[in-house]
Amino acid sequence: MNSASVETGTEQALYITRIDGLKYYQDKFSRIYFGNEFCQRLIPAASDIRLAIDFALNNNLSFTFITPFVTNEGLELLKPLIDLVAREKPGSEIVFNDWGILQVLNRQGWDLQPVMGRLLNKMKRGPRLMNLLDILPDAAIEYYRGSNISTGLYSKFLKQNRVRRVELDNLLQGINLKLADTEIVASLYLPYAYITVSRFCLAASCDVYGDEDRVGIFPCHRECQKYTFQQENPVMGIPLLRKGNAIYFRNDKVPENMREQHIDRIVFQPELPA
Amino acid sequence: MKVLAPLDNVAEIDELLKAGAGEFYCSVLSEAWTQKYSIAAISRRPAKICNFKSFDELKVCTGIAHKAGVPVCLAINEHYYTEDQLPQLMDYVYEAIDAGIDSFMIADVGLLLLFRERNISKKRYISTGGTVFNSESAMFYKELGASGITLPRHLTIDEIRKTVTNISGLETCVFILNSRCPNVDGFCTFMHVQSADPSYKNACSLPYSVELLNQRKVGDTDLEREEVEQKNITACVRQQAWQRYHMDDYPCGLCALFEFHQMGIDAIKIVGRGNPAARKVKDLRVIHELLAILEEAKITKEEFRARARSLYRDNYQRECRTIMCYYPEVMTVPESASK
Repeated sequence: MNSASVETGTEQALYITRIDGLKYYQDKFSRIYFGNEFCQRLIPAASDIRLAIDFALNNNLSFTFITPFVTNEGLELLKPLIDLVAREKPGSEIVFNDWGILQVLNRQGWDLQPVMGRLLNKMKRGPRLMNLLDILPDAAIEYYRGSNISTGLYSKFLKQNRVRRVELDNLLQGINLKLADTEIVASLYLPYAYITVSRFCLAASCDVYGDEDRVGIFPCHRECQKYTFQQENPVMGIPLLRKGNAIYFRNDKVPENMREQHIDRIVFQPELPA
Repeated sequence: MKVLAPLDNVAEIDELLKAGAGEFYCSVLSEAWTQKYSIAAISRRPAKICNFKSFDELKVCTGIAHKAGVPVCLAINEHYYTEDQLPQLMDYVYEAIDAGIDSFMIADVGLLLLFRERNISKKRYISTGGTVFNSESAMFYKELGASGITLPRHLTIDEIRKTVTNISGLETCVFILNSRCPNVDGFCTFMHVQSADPSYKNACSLPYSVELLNQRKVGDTDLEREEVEQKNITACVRQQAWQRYHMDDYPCGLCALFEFHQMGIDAIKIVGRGNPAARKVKDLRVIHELLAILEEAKITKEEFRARARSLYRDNYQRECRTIMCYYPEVMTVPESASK
């Protein structure tokens, strides 16, 4: 990312999934994102959350706890951790990527700010779209740059649920959210944009000879921490990056119209999240 | 437990009713929509073969279905619609209601909110695009007016059991046959594009060259280094699993009917808008043969699994394969039991 191109006044946050990611901290960051969006097996331990919060407190940083989509089991695992964040650093943000987590946040009444995660923002990310931009009608292009977040009812619903911030990927086709009338602001994730996620994880047991086609929800040994893959097909135009159970592309180009789009925060990922 | 079957045209409806469709789901191609939005389809299935050609044809079908006591659900299940699309979308909804549609399958929270605001009385079922991975998210949708939920493909049988517990007042639907998507539908942002160009088939099925970015070259001895190299190769080969098996190579969850019957799951879904009628009929017959066994006979889980596997093999000419098994935890039953 060319940080010089980030507009003055835009908040910069560091997003890490493991506590050793704090090594990427620089003075320009005023907020730490900690947690995982894609896999409930990678939800950090309470001890690591404490360390991350301590780091934030010691450096006068704001804190955002980022959470994945979860099964009932994952939700039970998360509840005490969210409670921990509320106790240790009240007023922090919780990024939810699962409507069930928003339900729990609303019911528990913790002093935390819910933020809608990028998995719940369904804008299309498939890079092949770039091959079609020249031939698509204008209305279709606007669709692919737009979102349901800016529809009147949806944005009102988010506000009623105390959600004032949504998380965005840096789409190749550009972003035109029309958030101006909504009082909702957005964060932009750089440089990795997620495209898709699975629970049939191809990193799980990926190096066990003979199990290459054993695809399902099976125990793993966190092979995602060891392996990162790049996969290419010419039609995609750019490489796809596969880390753990998710696929990403990289886009370092900071959009020029961030203010216009109500984007007031950059979330910097020094590594692919896993 | 009713069987939710795809319906694409009036020519196939009688056969499908005879084969035991308990409810239909379908979509209608809107020329006006396609002209304006092109590949951004209204129902995630842009191909003509997957859609009714008109609301008039749909109306004929709802009439036939209703005479047989079978409801018809319209899929308006794109993951999101923008403000600009909503007026045209609601015209489409009202046309569908006029054509006799009983319910809608919806993924977009914005559209659900609009249905509530407009006091549309038809049932709303949450598509798998709604990503209901837990009971709390099911209740979230219930509060928004949903009558039922379709559970994602990416849940185990046990996770489904835990999710459907304590969500009273919501109908539940699970997948049983066809299209075992490699990725979570509701979180997948690749496009479904209809094109004759094979480069534009589903992105998950494209051939990819795979390279390990963080080559692990560790080990003190040649043997250790060789072992690590072998692991690296194996890991890359695994990333191409969905190139070796097309997700539509007859994936199946029939063995899990035993548990779904016990759980009181309300509906099982056959994926297959666009499939030939003969395939849909076969799918329905196979399922009903197994449901009849569950209804009428006392049968152990192992015996049921064996029967399901045998029927699968006989009807689809394939052996059970983990990658094509919707609920592969069932494959812990020894294969010998199915001979």
